[in-house]
Amino acid sequence: MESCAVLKPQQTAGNVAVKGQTTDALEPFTSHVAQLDKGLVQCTLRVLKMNGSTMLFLHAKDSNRLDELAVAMPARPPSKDTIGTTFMGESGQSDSLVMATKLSARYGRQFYVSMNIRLDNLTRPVFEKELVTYMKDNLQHFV
Amino acid sequence: MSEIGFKKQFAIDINGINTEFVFHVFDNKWMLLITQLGKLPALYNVQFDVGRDERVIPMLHGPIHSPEMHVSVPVTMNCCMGADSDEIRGGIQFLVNETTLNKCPTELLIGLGLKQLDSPGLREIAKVLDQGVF
Repeated sequence: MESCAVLKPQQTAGNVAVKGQTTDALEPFTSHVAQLDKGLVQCTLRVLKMNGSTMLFLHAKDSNRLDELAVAMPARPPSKDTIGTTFMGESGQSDSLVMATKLSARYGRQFYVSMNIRLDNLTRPVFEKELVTYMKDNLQHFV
Repeated sequence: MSEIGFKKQFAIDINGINTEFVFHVFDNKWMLLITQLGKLPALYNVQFDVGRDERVIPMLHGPIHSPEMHVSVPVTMNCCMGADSDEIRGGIQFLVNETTLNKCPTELLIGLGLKQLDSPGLREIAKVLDQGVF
């Protein structure tokens, strides 16, 4: 019977992925959970930081659903576009895809986003601002 | 060190390869990621054809672990993202049969990214799942 050994968790703060970079040594995954409850929308944010990509789950505080999942990533150079798709839940331009595209364009990194909150034209910009501010303040958990 | 963001998230050495596990229970889905690739592997959505509490006839609803009369838990798998292969589907079915994954009351979103998909590796993973995740 082969044995299993738990690896020591390593926190690598501030490890910003460079576009197109490939490394032989894989970084361990890190995860983080936070409550965003200062603004109009109260939600729970879960993050999984992987090698070159980040996964975000956003859901309302009182529910814990996984309905949508979308991915967005920078296109291959020389193109500066961001490409993405929704692969679970609503087809077409889902909230998750919009958010993944924005984050991917901002950080030049692949983002998986599962956004399970209903937002309207009033609450969306407020929420996005709150999320971006939180990400900026806690960048080591995201990129 | 900050709190981990999921019910379980850890890395473990399986047959000399660092393997990441992430597990979380959502209201409408279980999510399980197992990867040795350092990133998200192909994702499959697994629906259980017969509900957990309705599997009363082992010959029909499985699992029966017997070389002569093996019965799998009946599931429907859809590849949501990434390369769809029979090997990965077989690996997922093995884990569903062998572990507490078959007690999932909802759907299962699973990513299985192994450098080498073989029986010893899958058995080790099944052991880790039952001892370290469930």
